[in-house]
Amino acid sequence: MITPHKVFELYNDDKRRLYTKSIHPGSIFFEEKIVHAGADEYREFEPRRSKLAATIAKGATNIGIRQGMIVLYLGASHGYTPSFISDMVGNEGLVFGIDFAPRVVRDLVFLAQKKKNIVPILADCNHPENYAHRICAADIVYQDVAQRNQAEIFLENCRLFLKKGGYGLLAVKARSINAKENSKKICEEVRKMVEKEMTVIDFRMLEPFELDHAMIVVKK
Amino acid sequence: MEYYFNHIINCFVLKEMGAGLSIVAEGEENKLKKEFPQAKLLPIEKNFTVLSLLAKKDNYQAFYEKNIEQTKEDLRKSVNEDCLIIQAIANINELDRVVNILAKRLREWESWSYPELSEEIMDHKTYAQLVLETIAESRTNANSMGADLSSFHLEEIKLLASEIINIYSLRHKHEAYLENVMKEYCPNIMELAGVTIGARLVELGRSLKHLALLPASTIQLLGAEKALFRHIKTGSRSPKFGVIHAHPLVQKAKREDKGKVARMLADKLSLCARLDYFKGEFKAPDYKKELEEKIAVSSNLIKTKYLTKRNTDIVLTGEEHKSMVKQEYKQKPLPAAIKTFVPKAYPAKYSAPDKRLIASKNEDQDSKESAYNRSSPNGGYEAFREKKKIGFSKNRGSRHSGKKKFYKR
Repeated sequence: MITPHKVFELYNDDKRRLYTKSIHPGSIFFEEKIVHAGADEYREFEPRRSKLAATIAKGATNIGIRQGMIVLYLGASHGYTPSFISDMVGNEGLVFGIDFAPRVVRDLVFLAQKKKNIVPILADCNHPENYAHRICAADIVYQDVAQRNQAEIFLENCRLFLKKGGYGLLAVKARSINAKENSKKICEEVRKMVEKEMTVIDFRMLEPFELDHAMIVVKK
Repeated sequence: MEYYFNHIINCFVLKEMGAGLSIVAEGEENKLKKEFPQAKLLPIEKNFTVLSLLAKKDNYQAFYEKNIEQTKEDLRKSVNEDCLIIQAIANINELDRVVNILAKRLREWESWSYPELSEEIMDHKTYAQLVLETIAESRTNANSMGADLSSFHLEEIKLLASEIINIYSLRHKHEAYLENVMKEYCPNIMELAGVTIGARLVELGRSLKHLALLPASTIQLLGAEKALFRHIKTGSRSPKFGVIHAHPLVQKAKREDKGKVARMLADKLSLCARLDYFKGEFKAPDYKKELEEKIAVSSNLIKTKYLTKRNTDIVLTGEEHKSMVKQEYKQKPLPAAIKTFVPKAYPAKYSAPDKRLIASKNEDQDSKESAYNRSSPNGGYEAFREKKKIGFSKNRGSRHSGKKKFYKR
């Protein structure tokens, strides 16, 4: 039985697995489980593979993603999470996936050729001026990059591209910032940094799905 | 006031309308510049207003098409020698692993027919070659304890042996290829580190550019990440070298000097990486020479340093050292200060006090306390120590009383 989740654009089954409604029925992108209900097709969203799914599995209720939104995704990698966000925003929305490693952007291009609302860009998030002329203002900024200065990168990108009232989602990788320090302490520090400019709606450590990671949801 | 803004989907001319901006025209950059000669480049502060104007559904198709085209072009350009070197050295590593597994299987299999050969020859390559050569002959050797297998069975073993030799030749070809690529791309690193170590450094540094930006201390530990993070987290012994451990200079050095040699080598390697990235001169031979001289000198220094240290430590060294040091001591009389040395740190009452003070106080004092203050040759602190039966070690503090090791999980 597929029922709508309390988070918008997501669905539940009776075992509380997460699903999104596929906008391209009949295609599987990451060997995920497919469930049919009526005319619709649902793709399973695994918390072990995505920090966004882990955040929702940990109980976050407001992540701000709705139909028809424009999402700026920093650190898109192979495109597992972007493919689900693309389902969530639907054909009316757009996902700009940015990554600086050529190897993974290659996979992202193959994904984008199937999913027409993902726009792959090969650029470094540290230098927004290099891709400022290739994107537009976004409703959501989602960041998942393994950089020491990830908080600064996030703030800079939110300043430049996030609309007023838009949501920012920051996946903090504590081990990229400091290999030794207590991870919760590092994440709290990042939260304090972000709090100076925007209001924090949600803060969650992602154990047991991801070790030493946290998700911060903010509103501009 | 008019501005123009160059976006990937088009070039836009904008006009200030009250507080905001609005798009007046769009089209090719050169055409618009002719049409609006007064238009200036949009200042960066106003970028956001344009970007929000562009966030319309009509533009989605253009965003998608133009960006995917550009990204494909970027990907095409991103391929360089780094990628090729990394793939080649990664395949060499993989071939090493595969050939080891296959050679072990060949030894097991072939040993049913001729176990003595496997026992005799340790090198996998020569073993495979010998198997290929000898297997054709009929093996009716009375001395061997192997079974007399027919050619039907031996043929299969032969196939495996030839496959192993093929892998060895492939590895050899990869190495020659790497040498050719690196001779052009990073000659200094190749000269100083050698082909395989140089390529491994490029692989672990992800690219020559990144390698050139790394400090020498990081280059020294490339390939020892596991030990390094273990050291940072638990305070275990720090690693001294990564992949450069296989370098002949480090291999030749004595155990206690290996870390020092690795440090000096990494220093020169970082210089080489920078020379190669910025297309500098070919300086590696000079560095190599300098390094060899430096290592020779410093290892001598280390030797003399250790010797002098040990001479003072009479008890620990052997009989020879003892006599040698004794002679030295005889030749040089001890300075006067040492003979009558009283440590300052001891409390005043334990030290040899003024005789006059004792004479006046002696009568009133307890016999117990006066024993500490006696100024006889064996009195004072020595007497107190004997009485209390305190060893020196206790007063000096235990070996672990200083800095505690920081263990954390």
